[in-house]
Amino acid sequence: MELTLQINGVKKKVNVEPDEMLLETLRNLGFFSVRCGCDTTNCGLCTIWVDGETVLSCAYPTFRAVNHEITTLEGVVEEASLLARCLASEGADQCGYCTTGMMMSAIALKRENKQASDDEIRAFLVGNLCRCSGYEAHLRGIRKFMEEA
Amino acid sequence: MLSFRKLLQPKTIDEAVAFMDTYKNAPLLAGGCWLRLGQGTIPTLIDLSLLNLRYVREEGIEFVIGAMATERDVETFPAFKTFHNGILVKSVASILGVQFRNMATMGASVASRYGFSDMIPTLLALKADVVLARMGRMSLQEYMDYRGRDLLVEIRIPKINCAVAMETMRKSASDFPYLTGAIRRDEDGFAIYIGCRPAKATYAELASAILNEKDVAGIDEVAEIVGKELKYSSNSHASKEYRKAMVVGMTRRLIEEVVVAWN
Repeated sequence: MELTLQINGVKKKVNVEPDEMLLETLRNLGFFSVRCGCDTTNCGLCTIWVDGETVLSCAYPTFRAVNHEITTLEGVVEEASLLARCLASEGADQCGYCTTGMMMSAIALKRENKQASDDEIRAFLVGNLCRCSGYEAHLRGIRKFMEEA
Repeated sequence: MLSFRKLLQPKTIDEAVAFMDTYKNAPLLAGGCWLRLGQGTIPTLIDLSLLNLRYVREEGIEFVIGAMATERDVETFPAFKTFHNGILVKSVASILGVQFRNMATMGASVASRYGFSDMIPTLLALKADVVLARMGRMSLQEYMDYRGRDLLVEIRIPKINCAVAMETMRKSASDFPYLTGAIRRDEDGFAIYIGCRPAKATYAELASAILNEKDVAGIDEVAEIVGKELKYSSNSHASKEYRKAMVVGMTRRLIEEVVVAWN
């Protein structure tokens, strides 16, 4: 199928199989912030935004993204840089493999609810698993990010 | 992964139904959350994403949830925060993560009649109806046993005067539940629904009848009967014996909660 996708504000033509998922399409296009973890909709590593909503790209058929705005971490560099500094300052970097997906969720939360409490942060990020189990450091880093202007 | 070779994207309900007639074995794709967990190849798939069925709205005496509305749409719909103390929000809020709930659709959760569905017992307790492309409107209770090949268009929830309590039990946050339940109290009395046994949610007829006869005084007896009246089985999430033991306490809590809410 030949499709036109809008990724981070830029239109791109792609040729995909009907059952290809956005995770594969985006990585083939060089968006390597989108990572493959469980590949079964459980871990949150592959989190991206479609029309500003967080979704799991491992289970989002590419054909469905036509006429929708896809955003990866490469499309929110400024916010991502600030969040990265907040996470690093709290020792939440660890192995880093879950970080990009977690950042997409944290930035989405800040846009939706800047006053989010710790419980609301935890609830919003419950779908982002960290196998290093660095959740407390993540929480501190994200809280600091939420407090930044 | 579940693969498919040919994709059909109807733009109207009539077109979708025509495709369903032509391609009698073609599955319908709603949220698509389980594509990665399936195996094999499907020759033809009918995608429902262009049918404009993603909506949640209030229409006079009822709420209407389009089949393609996501669980997150229900969770964030303002009127649901107060409707029966946020019972619908509570029924979807524990399902995996936000990203998943942004994809999983209410229509698929109901149409698939998954035993592990968090919200079906609650919808049954709320006396929800479904609207089907061929059969029109029918109660969700009736739909649970309906086997026709049909397209679920929307779910309608009446604003009836009742109290409803629900609970899902899981071994860890964001996991599948191993037991679900809901109870309604209205002018006609109590009605108890238990799901994830692990079979689909069903009405506990005998237990409900005894509760209606003895009211709260019969709470211990009713809770024990729910554990005996319905069929329970084992799967990877819990054994039959564990479910039968846990449903007793859950039923007791549900009754206590609904009685307080009704009073």
